[in-house]
Amino acid sequence: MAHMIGKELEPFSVMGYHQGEFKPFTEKDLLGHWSVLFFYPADFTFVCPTELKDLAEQYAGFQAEGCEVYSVSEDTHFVHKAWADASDTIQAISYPMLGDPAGVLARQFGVLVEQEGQALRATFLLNPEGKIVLYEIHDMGIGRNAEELLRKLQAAKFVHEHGDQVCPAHWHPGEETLTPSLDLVGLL
Amino acid sequence: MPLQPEHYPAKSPLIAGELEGQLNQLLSKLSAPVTLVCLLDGGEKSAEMAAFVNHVAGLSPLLSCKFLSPGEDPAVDAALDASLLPATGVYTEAGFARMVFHGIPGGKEITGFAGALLNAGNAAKPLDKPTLKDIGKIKKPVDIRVCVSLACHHCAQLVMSAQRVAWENPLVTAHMIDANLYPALVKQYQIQRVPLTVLNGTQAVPGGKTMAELTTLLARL
Repeated sequence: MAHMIGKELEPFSVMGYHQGEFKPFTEKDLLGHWSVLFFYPADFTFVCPTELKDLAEQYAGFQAEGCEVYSVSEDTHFVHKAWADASDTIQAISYPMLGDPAGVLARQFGVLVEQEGQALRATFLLNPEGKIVLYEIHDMGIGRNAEELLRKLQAAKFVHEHGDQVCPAHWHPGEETLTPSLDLVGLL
Repeated sequence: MPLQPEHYPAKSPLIAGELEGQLNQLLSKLSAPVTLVCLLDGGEKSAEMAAFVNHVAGLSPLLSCKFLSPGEDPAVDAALDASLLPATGVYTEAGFARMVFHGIPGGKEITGFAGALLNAGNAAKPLDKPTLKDIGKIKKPVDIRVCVSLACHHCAQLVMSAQRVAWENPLVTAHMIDANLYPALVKQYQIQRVPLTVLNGTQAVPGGKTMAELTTLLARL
C-alpha cells in the first residue's frame, strides 16, 4: 500500500460553513500556510461533536502556529449550518466546516467509505506548499486528540524550518543511562 | 575526604562484551597520556559516571582518572562547570583539553567520548587542510554546549565535531550535555528536540550540523 506523505494537494472546489456564512473553498485557500483537514463521518452524531469541540478548544493554538483548521464531512454546508443552529457545541466552532457531499475531498485523500457515503476519521496536515507531511486514519469509532495534533504540527513546523537533523526529545527523568553503542566509522 | 577512584567500582555494567573489545582496539592507538578528571557529587549518576570512567581508564596504560568534589579545585570547577554534575573533563599533560561531558556518555554518545580520547591521545584521524583552515578562522573564545539525548544519532556527530574543533582551536571549549539530567536547562532553553547547541550561553542553535556548517557558524560569532 502506497503512503501519502509528500502527496500534493489536488484541485478541488467545495462549499463550506464558516462563522455563520456559506463560502466557497478551493485548494488555493489551503496554500501559503499550514492546514489541517479533519475528516469525520457525519454531522449530528455523538463522537464527532466531542472531537470537533476538542479541536475548537485548541484552535487558538493552531492559529498561533499559522495553521488553519478545516473540518470535513460528506454532509452539505447546509447541514453544517443546521447542526450549528441545533447545537451550542457546534455553534461555538470558529474554524471552517467544509461540505463534501460529492466525496471530492474524501476520495482525494483516500478516506471515503463508498458504500456508506461517509469519511473515516482522518486527519491530514499539509505544509504551506500543500504537501501532506503527516496523517492519521482511524476506524469510525476511534476518536482523536487535538492537543497531540497541535504538538505534531509544532514538530512538523520545526522540521520544515530547520531540516530533519534533529531527534525528538522525550525526557523521562530518572531513566537509565542507555547502553553505549559505539560507531567506529569516523573513528578509525 | 578527597574522592579516590578506588572508592568506586572498577567496572561499569555499561561497558560490556563487544564494546569493551572495540574500546580496547581504539585506545590501543593512544600515543600520549590522557587524564579524565571527574567532578562528582553524591548522586546516583555521579557514582555511575565514576564506575564508567574507572572502567575506561583501566583499558589503556596511557589513561588515568582523577575524582574531585566541587570546591576542591576552583580551576577545575570553572573549567568543567560545576553547576552541571556529574562532569568529566579531558586533560593532557599540557592541561585542560577543553572537552567536557556532563552526564555519562552512554548510548550514541560513547562515540563522541571515544573521539575525545583519541583527540587528546594524539590518535585521531587527521583533518583535511580546508577543515583545519576553517577551524583556524575562529578568532574569538567560544563555549559550545551541545544538549543531547543519548539515543540521538544526529547529536553524536555534532558532539564529535564540536570536540574536535575544541581540540584544534584553543579558543574553543566543547561540552556534551545529556539534557535528560538537567531539567532546569531543558526548561531554560525549552528543549523539545535535540541536538540543541548553545553558544556562549546566549545563542541556541537547533539541529545537527556538519563540520563545515559548525565551523562557519563559529567563525561568524
